Amino acid sequence: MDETRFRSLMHEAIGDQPMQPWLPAAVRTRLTEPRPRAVPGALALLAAVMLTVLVVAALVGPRLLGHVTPAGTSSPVLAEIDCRLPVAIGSEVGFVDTHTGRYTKDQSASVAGLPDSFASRPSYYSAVLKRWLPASVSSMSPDGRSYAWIRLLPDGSTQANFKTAELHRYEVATGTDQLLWTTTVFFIVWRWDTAGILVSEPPDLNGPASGTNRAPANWWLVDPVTGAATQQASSSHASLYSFTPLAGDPTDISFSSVGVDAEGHTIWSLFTNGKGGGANWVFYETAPGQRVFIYRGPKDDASALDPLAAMADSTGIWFSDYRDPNVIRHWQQGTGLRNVMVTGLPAVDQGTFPGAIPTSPCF
Amino acid sequence: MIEADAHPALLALDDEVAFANSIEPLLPIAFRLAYGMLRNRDDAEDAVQEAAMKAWRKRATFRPGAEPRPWFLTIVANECKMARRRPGWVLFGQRSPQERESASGIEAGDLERLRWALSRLDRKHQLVLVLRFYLDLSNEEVGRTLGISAATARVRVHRAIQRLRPVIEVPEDLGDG
Repeated sequence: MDETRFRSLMHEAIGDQPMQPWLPAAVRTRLTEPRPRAVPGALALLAAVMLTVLVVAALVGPRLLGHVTPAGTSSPVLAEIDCRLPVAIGSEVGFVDTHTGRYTKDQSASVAGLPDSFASRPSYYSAVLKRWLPASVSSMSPDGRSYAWIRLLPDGSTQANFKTAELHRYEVATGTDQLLWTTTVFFIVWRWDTAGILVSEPPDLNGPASGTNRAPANWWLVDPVTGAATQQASSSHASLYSFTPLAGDPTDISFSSVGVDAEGHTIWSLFTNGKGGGANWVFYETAPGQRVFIYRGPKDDASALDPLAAMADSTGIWFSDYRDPNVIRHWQQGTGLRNVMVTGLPAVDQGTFPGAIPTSPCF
Repeated sequence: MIEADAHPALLALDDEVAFANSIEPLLPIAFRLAYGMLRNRDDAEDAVQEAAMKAWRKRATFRPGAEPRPWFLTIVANECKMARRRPGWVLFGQRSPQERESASGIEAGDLERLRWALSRLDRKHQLVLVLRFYLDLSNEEVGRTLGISAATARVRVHRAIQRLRPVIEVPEDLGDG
């Protein structure tokens, strides 16, 4: 086979799809109008919010009101929290010693033989099991010994052509896989807590840009032992995919969800698009309209937090930050934001975020 | 097969409208890259839009005078990696029998084997094959897009091809040109 034939084969194998003529206009619109910011895909896997959940709120007024924690401050090192933080960097995984900031690749990381939903790679480190799993934090059982995974049937099918979707529970130590629930709609796992495994249809990312319009239509709570599925009201989980606009919020904002706190509250990252400055906010809601601010300050401030992903644990919340890949940021209520300067980072492919992304609780 | 590039001087970084104008010539090839990696039109369109937004946010990383195309394609490629981590994303999904039959001049067996082999490549090697043999970029352009030298790009192309070889017969010197 010569090169010309191989190229033809590649084109045939992939298919030639022309760009739709409306795409340039869509790009222009997104660039020039205030729009929600997309959640990085890594977050979708690593954090509890598994899909980009974007909401455009019709917000008015110049500034945010009330429920404000002062803007975070940073110190060069994080001395008093001494643990190993599992992280992903490019295509590899390892640990950051939070006392020294030293990153060490986990040479033994492997998920061979473990079932997975969509990507067979180490994604979550279970300190209980002392191994990496092909799971997200949202799909881990409360005891850290099992994870939920989704199987589309027939095998090899995709979201576009599957016939049935199964929710499985895999107990790692015993290697026991249990089929819990079968449905004909595509679904995602939001969390697994003592109430059960919360799943829903994905939010409609192509729908009109408002929280309610993007709400997943169907939610179920699946018993992790019996597999019994109970239909849930969509409104009871609105805080997972939207937040409450407040009077006084600015109009010109972009925002995304970046993870969840230890209690499962979605963490939101917002920034204003105004020229000549603007603001960054990172917060979560403990109840509709009750915001706890992790960072609120000028967009261009040196200490501003621009999170890529968040991982909550018993010490607080760990963030990777678009602004500085050499730093992992840690937030604790009452203490605020502090930095861990990370050393020993490997080189990554150009275009890949070169910093450490927290994947699992520090241990 | 290579679309018109934006002239370096035209990559305007000062405001969103000018930036949108200057990257517009890059969108067709960006879409092709995204489609080549994601194999889904909707996902590819989403990836290009997200990449444009990220390019605007990362505009400070663009070196004045550099070629904008490799810079933008790098961001698009990374967006495709991110998109692939979302639930439901599967590379190189099955084609319908009608599509298979319409693959004129090429045996369906080769096509199926190539798709199968591509689907099992890691994303680094998938990307280099898409850049080299689907976007038809030179090794120099592949290197600039991946942030590596042309020689390293050539080696990476070779390694990707070697990984196809157990499944499909391809010559040693493929992609050397």
